[in-house]
Amino acid sequence: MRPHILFRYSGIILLFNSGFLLLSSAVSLYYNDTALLPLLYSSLIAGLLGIFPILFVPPATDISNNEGFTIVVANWLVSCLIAQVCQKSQIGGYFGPKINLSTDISS
Amino acid sequence: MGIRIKILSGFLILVIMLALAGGWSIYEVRTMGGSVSRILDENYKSIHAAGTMTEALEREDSAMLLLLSGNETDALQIMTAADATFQEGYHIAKNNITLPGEDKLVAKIEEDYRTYRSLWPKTAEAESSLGPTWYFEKVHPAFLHLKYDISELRSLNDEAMYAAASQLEAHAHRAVMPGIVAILSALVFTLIFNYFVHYYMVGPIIRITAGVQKSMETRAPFDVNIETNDELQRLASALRNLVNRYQQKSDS
Repeated sequence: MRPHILFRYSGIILLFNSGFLLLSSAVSLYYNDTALLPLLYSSLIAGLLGIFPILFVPPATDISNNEGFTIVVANWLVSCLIAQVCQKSQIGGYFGPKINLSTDISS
Repeated sequence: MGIRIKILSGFLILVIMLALAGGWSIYEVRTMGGSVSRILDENYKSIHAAGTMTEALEREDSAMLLLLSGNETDALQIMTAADATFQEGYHIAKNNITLPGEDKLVAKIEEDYRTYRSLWPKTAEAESSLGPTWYFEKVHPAFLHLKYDISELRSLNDEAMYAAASQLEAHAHRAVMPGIVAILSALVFTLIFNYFVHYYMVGPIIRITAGVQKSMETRAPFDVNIETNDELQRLASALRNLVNRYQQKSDS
């Protein structure tokens, strides 16, 4: 098992996650809701963590079965962790519309 | 990619992570400051104005009772002073309409206060005709009505203030979370960075050193392969040429 190979492919998946989080933050910006900053922050964290192994680790052509399985499992876990970063950056993980105190009270 | 760029990128990523967390925390703290200011400006002023109006209204009611008991001079004095205080409170509330529905409440207070004031006796002749029946049938209901309107204004602002204060807690949490996330990410990143530095920089240097020593001692060929395309690979290649030439020279 070569950990650096695992890091490289996790990095690629993190970059994918980062891209989709960026897309989500664009949607959030369009709807002007409170999720924009957590999504953008998670996207940047995922991007930064993802790009680093790609800079360091040269591509490998010979990946063993065990390494492949580990890469898949590790990437699911990493994706969950990034989702947690996004959720924990927001109160209670709830992404709702911006609270307009005045409107809420009057209604 | 060169070693310098790799190391620089590592430190740069750490700096960006911490800067992002710091920037976001500053943003949240500033927003929190804005919420505090909003509570004070939008709600507390109106709550205070409602308190002033209630107090003035109660003094006016006492003045009415004094008038009924025949103490006209004191009643008039208290009435005039309380009216000025009420007007002051009313103008603060009117100039601080920040919540939906607040304008209607303020307009209602104005209308009801006009009605209440219209009940004040205008002449001494009118005063003589006043009695408890007049008070309980006309003045007291108008007083209660107006007091209810003022308490409605107060409740509206109370609720808004409570909601804004609850938001402060959320802002505080959001100001802390990016910092925690950044610290944890930086920790993980530092461990990975350390692993890479060890594996791709320190490890090859150790292998090159061992390879040179082995070649010099046993005359074995220098067979250290560096997989990265950087200065260390070029160093290994240069050393391979050097060792080969040295071995060829010593053989001849």
